Amino acid sequence: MKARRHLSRGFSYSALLFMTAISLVPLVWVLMSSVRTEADIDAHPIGVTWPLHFSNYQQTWEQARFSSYFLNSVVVAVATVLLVLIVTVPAAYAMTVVRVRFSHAVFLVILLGLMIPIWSIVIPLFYEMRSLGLINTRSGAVLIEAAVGLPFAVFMLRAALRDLPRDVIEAAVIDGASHLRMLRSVVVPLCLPTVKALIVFEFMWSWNELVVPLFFLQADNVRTLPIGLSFFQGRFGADPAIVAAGTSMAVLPVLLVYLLLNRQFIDGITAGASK
Amino acid sequence: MSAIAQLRPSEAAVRSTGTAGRPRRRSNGGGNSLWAGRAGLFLVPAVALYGAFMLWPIGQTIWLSFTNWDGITGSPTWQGLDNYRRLVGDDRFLHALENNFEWVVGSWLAQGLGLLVAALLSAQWIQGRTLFRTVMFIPATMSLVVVGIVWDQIYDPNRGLLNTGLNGLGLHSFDRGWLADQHTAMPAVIATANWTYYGFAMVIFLGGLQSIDRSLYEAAALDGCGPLRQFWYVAIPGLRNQITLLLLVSFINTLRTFDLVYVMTNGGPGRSTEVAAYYIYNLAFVTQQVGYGAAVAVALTVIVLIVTVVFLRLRERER
Repeated sequence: MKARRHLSRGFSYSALLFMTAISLVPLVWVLMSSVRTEADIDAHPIGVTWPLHFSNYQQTWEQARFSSYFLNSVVVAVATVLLVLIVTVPAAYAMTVVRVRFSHAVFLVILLGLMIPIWSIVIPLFYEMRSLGLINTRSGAVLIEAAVGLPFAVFMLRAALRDLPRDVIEAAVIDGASHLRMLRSVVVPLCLPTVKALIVFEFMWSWNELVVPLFFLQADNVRTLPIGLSFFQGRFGADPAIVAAGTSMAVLPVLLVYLLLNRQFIDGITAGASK
Repeated sequence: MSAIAQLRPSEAAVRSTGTAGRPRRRSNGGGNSLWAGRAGLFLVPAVALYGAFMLWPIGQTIWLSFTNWDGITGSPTWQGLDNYRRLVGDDRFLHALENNFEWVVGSWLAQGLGLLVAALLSAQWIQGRTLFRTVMFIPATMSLVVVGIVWDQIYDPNRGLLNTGLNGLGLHSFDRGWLADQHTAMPAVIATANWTYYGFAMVIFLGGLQSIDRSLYEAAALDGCGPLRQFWYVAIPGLRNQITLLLLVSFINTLRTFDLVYVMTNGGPGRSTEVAAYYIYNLAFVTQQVGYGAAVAVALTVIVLIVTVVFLRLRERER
């Protein structure tokens, strides 16, 4: 009996370690390749070469304009997160706590946005943004990404606000709190976990977005990392070490944010799933 | 002005006492209308942003789908239903949709794998659960562009990880150009997508499994159910919500998928990996058939909406 239990536990751990390896091996391999030279990789695709060849990173950062892509990614993602929150927190409050007229209809129409493929908005937007002069501006991309990210934020905030204790809100109303006061002192502090989860998700989506920058940030000086990386792959495709260095640079910031805030990630996902 | 909050009776009572002490600038009956009225303004920025960059372009796409615009010359000309007539007999569109559905079915493998890993991780004696979960979710946080480039390198016929590994194991006969072969390109792309999907499924299933009442397992064990039957009769029914959610999310995301195909194969070799979104991109922005591209986009949107409505209806009926 005991032997059988050891056997099944051993099997469980082996299966888990195997899956962990599958998740990690591609990343480790790219990190390894990023500090080698093309000749090394051609000779032995798997392995480490000493001394480590860090100049790949320098070359990527300077010659391949990664410093600029990186900055653009940060600006667009931060601005998108801020815009989404500034717009959706008051809206969710009006819809859920105050319940202004047409709240439900507005909510349903916004919810539709969760299912809409981006391809049903990109075609006319491309021509409109071009005539508005908003193409190749980071603010144009921010407006579109915020509009695309808005339905999810409204959905999550509405669910969180519905769970707020009514007596706290009623007490604030009796104290004569204005709407702004109410938002600042009651609503935002009480749904902070949801706001934090939204910061993480909206940041990640904006950081990883391909289609919006593909059409609206085409000039080299406004490109974000994913789009810069895909052009970069075409240009430097022959040198796997350089491509690996560029890829590693695009991965590390999100990886860092994720590892620091992985509680918010996981809680946000599981909370969203149960609603 | 006339905005009256639809309050539940008890709240209405509380609110009207709340505003009664304040000077009323406007009087139109309900004591809480002032309180609610201004809050309507809070909806304006969200509705404006969503209207201008989601609803308006959707309307435009629908309109463009009835025209033959090429995106360059003059203005679009009304063509009636011509584009939609062409769509019905368009083999290339049907083939792209087939690829989408192959992808949907392929993604079930990731959901199954996620369920399996979650089941292993939910055992009470497992050490390092958080660490396993954190690491296995990493691929799900990565940009699909990055994932596509990494796996493109892995599949490289000469210096890729896969062929090098296979040769190292002495399996030379499996060695091939994975993305260059008509028969393996689509499975290779789907496998790449699954690499990012299964961690997500695992996290959702694990959350669900951990919220199932332990006493249900104990009751099943008392009735003589072994671990497998406990899983089937207790865990699976308890995960119904998570299962429908994952099926729906993977359906929606897979039907509109684009990034991996754009980065890894451009729809090739031939059209073996062309999905609907890539076809739309090709029509509207490469071959300048904007009107027809819009019609395909509308069709794809309608398909996604139908699938969603059917799913939600089924889910409601089950409850």
